Amino acid sequence: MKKKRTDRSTKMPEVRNCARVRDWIVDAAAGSLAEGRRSDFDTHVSGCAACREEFQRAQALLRAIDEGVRARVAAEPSPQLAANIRQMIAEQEQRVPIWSRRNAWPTAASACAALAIFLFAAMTLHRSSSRPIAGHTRKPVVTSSTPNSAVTVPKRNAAIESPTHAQPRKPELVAARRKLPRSIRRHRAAEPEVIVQPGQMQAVLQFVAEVQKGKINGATIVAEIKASEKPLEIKPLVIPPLKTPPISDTAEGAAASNREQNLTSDQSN
Amino acid sequence: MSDVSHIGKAMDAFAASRAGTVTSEGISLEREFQERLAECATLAFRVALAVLRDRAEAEDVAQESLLRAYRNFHRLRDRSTFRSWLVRIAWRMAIDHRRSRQRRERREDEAAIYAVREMASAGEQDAEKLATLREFERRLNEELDSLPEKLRMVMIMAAIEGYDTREVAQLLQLPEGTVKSRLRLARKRLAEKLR
Repeated sequence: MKKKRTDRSTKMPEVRNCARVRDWIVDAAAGSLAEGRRSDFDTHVSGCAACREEFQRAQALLRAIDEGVRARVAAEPSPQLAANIRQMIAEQEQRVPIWSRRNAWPTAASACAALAIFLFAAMTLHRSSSRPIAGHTRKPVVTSSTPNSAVTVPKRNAAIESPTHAQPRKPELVAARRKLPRSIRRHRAAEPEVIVQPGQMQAVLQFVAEVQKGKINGATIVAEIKASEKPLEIKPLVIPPLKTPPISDTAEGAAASNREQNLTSDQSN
Repeated sequence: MSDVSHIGKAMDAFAASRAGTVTSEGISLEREFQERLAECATLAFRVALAVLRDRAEAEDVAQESLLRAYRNFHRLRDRSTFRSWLVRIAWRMAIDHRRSRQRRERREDEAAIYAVREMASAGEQDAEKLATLREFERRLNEELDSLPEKLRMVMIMAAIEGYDTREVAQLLQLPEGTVKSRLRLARKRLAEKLR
């Protein structure tokens, strides 16, 4: 009974030591074991074959890891690598990018400024030409580039039906635009806008449809419009001579003179 | 102030040399880069290879990173840090490159392992050893790639520089003590995973 106890007392610390040392093995093999533990570790490993074997295995594993990582990076590049890079550099120098030129930035800045001025001027001109003049309503104008396609449909953002032009597009307008041949739609941007007076949109659309069908001859209408735009003839103003009646003292005399004056004015008219 | 004027002057000179208005400073910068190119092409290639594990792709990335370094060479204030600067460029570019083709890489690895296992099943002892080796290599690569970037970079740079911690510290611009502790930690983690 006493002997058994002795066996236990000698074995248990050894097992506990092995468990503790096994925790240290990787650190020890990696060289990161704390100095205070190193002597305990060495003492144990020198006396314990199992831990020594485990330690040797860990060392071999770390060597394999180091070798494996080294093998991963050990390759040499092909001899052409440096030559290729030189060639690429030479090619790049031939087509020097604009930003690396000496006077590139001032040139680019002035180009940007010029572009900005141009855009601003273009936008201002466009706005002033598309804005309707207050108190002036333009007649709906129909121009003809070809006899059968003599129609211009209101643009989406044009000043159409001035009180309601901010409202969403009407479906009939969209449908009418879609009905137009593609050639007309393509050239639409170059043609003048049509300003439709309030409440007349339906009539204009109907007119457009009639022109498209050929029931109305666009060329004739254009000719009539041109003919009606003849300059006004200014006739000289005729001022009749003012006749002054003699002043009479009596009322009868005055009434008689009035009648006489009315008669003369009727005659002159 | 003098530093700034010096840098501005150098930039002008370099830009002028590239634009065709060659100055002596521009020529000297070019010459300096060309000298470093021969020395550093291998370094950039190895860094890229460590990340990508593919020679052709590593060469492409090395070329790209050296070209980028060339374009920005005039901005590098301290020329003595050129190698570490280049390492960072190559590392970043390789990581970006790898992300774009990670899925394909996994498929290729699996195909290789499968081929080796087939050889092993044919009963050839060498093939069995090779299969074990390839399996270890695959696991090592996986575990290395899963390390935190700080540890992985130190581990790879140590392998490139022959585990010379002072060189690695210079390359990564870190204190030597930091490099040593990171290296120990990286090796320990790998050993624990591969045990």
